[in-house]
Amino acid sequence: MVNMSDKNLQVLIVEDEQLLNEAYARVLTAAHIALQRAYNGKEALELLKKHKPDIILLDLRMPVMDGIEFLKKLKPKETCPTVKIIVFSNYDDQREIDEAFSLGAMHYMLKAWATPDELVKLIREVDSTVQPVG
Amino acid sequence: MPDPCLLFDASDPAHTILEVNKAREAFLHVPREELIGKSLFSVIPYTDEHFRNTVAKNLDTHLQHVIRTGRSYQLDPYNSTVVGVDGVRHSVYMQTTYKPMRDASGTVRYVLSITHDVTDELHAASQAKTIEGRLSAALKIGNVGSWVFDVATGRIAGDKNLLRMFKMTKKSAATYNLDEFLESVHPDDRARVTTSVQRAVGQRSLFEEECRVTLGDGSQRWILTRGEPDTNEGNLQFAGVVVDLTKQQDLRAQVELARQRDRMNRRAARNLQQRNEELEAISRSKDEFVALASHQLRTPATAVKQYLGMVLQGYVGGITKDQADVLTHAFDSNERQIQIINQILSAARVDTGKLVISPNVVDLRALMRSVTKDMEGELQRHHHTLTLHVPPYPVPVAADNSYLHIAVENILHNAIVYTPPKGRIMVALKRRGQSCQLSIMDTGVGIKKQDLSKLFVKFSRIHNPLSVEAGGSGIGLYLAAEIVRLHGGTIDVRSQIGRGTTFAISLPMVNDIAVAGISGKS
Repeated sequence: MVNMSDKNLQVLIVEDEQLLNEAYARVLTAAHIALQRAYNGKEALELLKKHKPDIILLDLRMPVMDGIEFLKKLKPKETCPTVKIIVFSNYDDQREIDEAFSLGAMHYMLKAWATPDELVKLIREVDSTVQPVG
Repeated sequence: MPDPCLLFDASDPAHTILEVNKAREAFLHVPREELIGKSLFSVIPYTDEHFRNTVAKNLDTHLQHVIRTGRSYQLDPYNSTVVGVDGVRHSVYMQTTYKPMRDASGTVRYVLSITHDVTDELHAASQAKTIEGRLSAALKIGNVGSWVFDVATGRIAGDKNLLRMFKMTKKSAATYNLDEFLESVHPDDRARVTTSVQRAVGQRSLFEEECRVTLGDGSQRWILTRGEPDTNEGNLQFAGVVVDLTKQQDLRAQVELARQRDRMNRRAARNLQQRNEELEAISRSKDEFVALASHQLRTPATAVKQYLGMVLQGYVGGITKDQADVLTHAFDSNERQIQIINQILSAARVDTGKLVISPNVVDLRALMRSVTKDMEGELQRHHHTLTLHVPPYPVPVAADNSYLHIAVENILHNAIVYTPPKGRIMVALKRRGQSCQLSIMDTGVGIKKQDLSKLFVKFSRIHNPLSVEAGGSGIGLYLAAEIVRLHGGTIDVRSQIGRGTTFAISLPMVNDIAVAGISGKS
């Protein structure tokens, strides 16, 4: 377990799979990372009205509103340029990933790749990078 | 100018000339005075032996006959020469008629000899004969017969060509009629031809039909017949021709047959293409299904990985070493499952042509170090030793690092699992001219000769002493071969049962300057 206290870091998990949403929440909580949970893009947009996290962990394929649609609505480059977005999916569809990047995503992760430690490590690494401006 | 005439005595055997007209004087080139009182035979060209033996043969007898019966007698036309008013001699054809002249009692007293110039007449006749001959020849050559159909009697009178064409005897031709003709027409054509004849007769219009006819000898011909109405003394007749089209029809039939064949071929090609498209669609939907199913399998496997990972990595409290061991087996098994899913997905991408390699210049030495490092855990579990030999200089290839990594890893994985514990695996990289060779040699169970061809076939698995234990999806080597192929390379296998196997990957190299540039940046 990557046990590093970081009270300031805030993550928004957007994942429709109940089990995975739950798993990520448990891992991040155990790693002392503050989090909010949404089950689709629409819920995430609602949460973002009140509070802007440091990182959004965004699934791409979801019902109601998928990740791409969410990014198109949010327009992160304009509305929240400091929020870092990690897209993750089990469909490593290059076109989808490219589109997500063009809409402001910063990092891509294949869901099946990461163990809990690797997930926490990735979040911390992304957090420590400087978001390129423009 | 009147016809040349000459009158001679009938009773006198010498046929003494009694009178001559001016025309006759000119014709014979002899003055009237010199002719009168002479014998006919002494003045006409009778003195000419040829004339006497041909045209005027037995002239004396014929003249006696004229005198006795009182009937005229005509000589055949004969060639002669006349001097025209211009003084030029012309070759002419003459014809002489001897006409009896009777006295009051009816007795033939004199004979009048009238001679015509028949040159023009003969010429015209000869021309007519030529034309007729030519027409007849043309009709014969063109297999054209002519006929006259008398509506009132139903009789059809045909010419020689028609008789020959219809294989008719003169006897059968004598009574040939419309009913017989229609009877000979092919049953399929008969109604049409009958209607056409009736319409032509009713409307006195042109008649034209193409049909099949069966002849007396049972043979069948294709004919075209065409006739025009003609009223002869109030009697409606049709005059026409009939052409034998059998040969043309045979040709047409051949052309039609060829066309049909062509159509069939095109249809077959279309069917084949359609079938091909169907198969492609089936194949596509199969690949899509495989892709979708794999994605769906990834999610639960990911959840297992997360939850087992949480326990193993201490996110939910501590566990005993035994518990950790057991859960590690579960975790590894799940990892293997994820790996198989990934390979199936990659293979599906190869099949759908969606696997696109993005090549960069890669130093194969670095890639090999990375792959062998990743395999350390697996090697240790099997207690194998691995040696890696790389040259002291770069081996630059244009490669998609991640895919080539998978390809080498798959071959290395095979070497590991098909080698009994404590085996040796030797990996060697060599440059060979414009290409490089990567060989992966093991001391494993080996591959039977007959199994070598199955090695790179998707989903095929080979049975050997370790195959059950090794598990596997039957995809690893297929994917490796496809990836190598996409890199423009080849894979060779040599194996000895019980001794081991060597996989040799050959890849084209790029020049060193490129790799120097790339490695300089990184």
